Amino acid sequence: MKQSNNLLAGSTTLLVLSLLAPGDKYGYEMIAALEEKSDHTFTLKEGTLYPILHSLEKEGAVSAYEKEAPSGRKRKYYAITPRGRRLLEEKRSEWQSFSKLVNAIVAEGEGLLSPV
Amino acid sequence: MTIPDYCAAVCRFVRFSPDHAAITAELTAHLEDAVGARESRGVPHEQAVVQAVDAMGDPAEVGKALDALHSPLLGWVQIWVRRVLVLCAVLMLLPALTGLWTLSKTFVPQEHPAQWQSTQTGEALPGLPIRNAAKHSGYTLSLWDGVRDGDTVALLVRLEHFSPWLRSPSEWAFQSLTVTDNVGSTYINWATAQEAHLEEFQVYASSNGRYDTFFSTYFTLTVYNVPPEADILTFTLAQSGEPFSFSLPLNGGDGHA
Amino acid sequence: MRKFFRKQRTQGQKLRRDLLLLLLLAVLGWVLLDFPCFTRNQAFSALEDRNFYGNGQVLRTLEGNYGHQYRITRAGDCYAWEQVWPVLFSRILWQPGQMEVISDDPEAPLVALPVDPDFLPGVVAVVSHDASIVTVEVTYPALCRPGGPEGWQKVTISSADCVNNCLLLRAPEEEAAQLDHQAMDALSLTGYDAAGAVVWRSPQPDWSLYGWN
Repeated sequence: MKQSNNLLAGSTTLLVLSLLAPGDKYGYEMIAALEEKSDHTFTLKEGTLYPILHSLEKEGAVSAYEKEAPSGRKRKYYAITPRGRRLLEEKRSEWQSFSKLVNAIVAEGEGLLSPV
Repeated sequence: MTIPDYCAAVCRFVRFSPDHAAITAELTAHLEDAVGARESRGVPHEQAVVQAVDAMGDPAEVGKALDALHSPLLGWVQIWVRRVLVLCAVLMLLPALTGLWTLSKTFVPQEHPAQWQSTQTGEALPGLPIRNAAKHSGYTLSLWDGVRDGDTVALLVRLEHFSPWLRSPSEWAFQSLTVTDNVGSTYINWATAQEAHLEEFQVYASSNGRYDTFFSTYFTLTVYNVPPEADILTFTLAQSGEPFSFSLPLNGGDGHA
Repeated sequence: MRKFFRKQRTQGQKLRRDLLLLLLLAVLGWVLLDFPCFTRNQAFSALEDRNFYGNGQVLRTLEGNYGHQYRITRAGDCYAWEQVWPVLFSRILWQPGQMEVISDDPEAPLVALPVDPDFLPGVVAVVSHDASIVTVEVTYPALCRPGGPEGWQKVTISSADCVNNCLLLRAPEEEAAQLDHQAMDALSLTGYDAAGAVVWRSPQPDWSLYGWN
């Protein structure tokens, strides 16, 4: 079953930064990594990746450079910056507290729904 | 939709046209990678292209999101400002080189001030140069060289300054020069004589510019009718609010009476 | 295709590069314009320094042709008129121009300071030591232009425009050109009080000895 993309709409920044944290990547590489990590159950509309990358670049959270691939094509790589790492931490803790809250409410709901 | 068509569709929503090339390049690279990945899984080329383009999503959505990020006004302003700057730099190149060349020549005098003495008659005055004999409104005055020929004393004075706005001090700065000596003679300045319609004067200042550089100007002060018993000539400039003076020892010494 | 793959610079880096270029060009321009001064007052100050002239009291300011600015100042017992001119007709950059210092004559109730004939033609400044003098008349010889009366004419201009004990007189254009600022003793000055009576008249200059029509 495909996860509802709505749940994750606001957290694509977190996803992108998390993908870049271990190392620099170019656009398609990020999509591929995302699919791999989610066992192909998660597909992000690839086009929306670039507006996010560009806005992060404008904020200074990522920086871009070009590298030539072995095939001869020039690829635009993105790298996370120290500012980006701070942003990642911020989003991560935000996400953790959000998911804790959601889990707590869901657990409560489960408790109420299960037959006593 | 082909890859170029998709890119064009996205770019249609991006108002700032100079960015279209970069956006097209990036999206094309991504789509080609996507097509390549599918082809390596065995998908035929045509279908791979269709799938890759679909996976990208609605070009309008992508285009509008990108457009929101790139302000056209600021972008155009920056581009035009840069063009104007580059144009100015190109136009200024030739005059800049000639101007800087001419300027660099002013840092070196046409003739060395040591040559001054050979243009004068008489014996050199001992004890010179006396540097920093006086300081006034940004200038530092030094008594550079001097000769005494009978009853005529000629003194080469150097005015140094640092600020470019003080360059070329005027000969007329010495208009108010008064000279006294230690035996009470009177010396009349040429400018005073002119104003008072007097025939004779004993003090004259001139400058020929040959030894001048950008930061220093040389003046020759000539004093006539100096009696043999005079040991010190004191020059006073009183035209400004703070008069200042310097002394020239005629027989060596450090210039203090 | 090369153009599309230029090195990616961030906005900040591009902005810094542009500002640096702008600064460099501005400094270069300033050097090439021969180091002008940035304000009018700075130019006047520099002019005074170059002439070893002290900070004086500004009596009057005038504007001449082509935006040249003039000041008449008094420092100690000297008067001076000072000229600065705008660079490239701007009002932002100024170069110090000429300066002429005249020693005061405290005995004489009126002292004339003819101003620059090139850019401020026909202007005479007269400093008054006598408070009772309200109007000043200046007479001088002028060679009038063809079409007017032939030969030399005696021209008289007068003014009561007195500020800070300094009166400004302006000659009409035809006669303006003849006012030679070097020949200060070619000016005949007369001072009148409020009632119109003559308070003082300068000694007769040489030219007045000749017959005049």
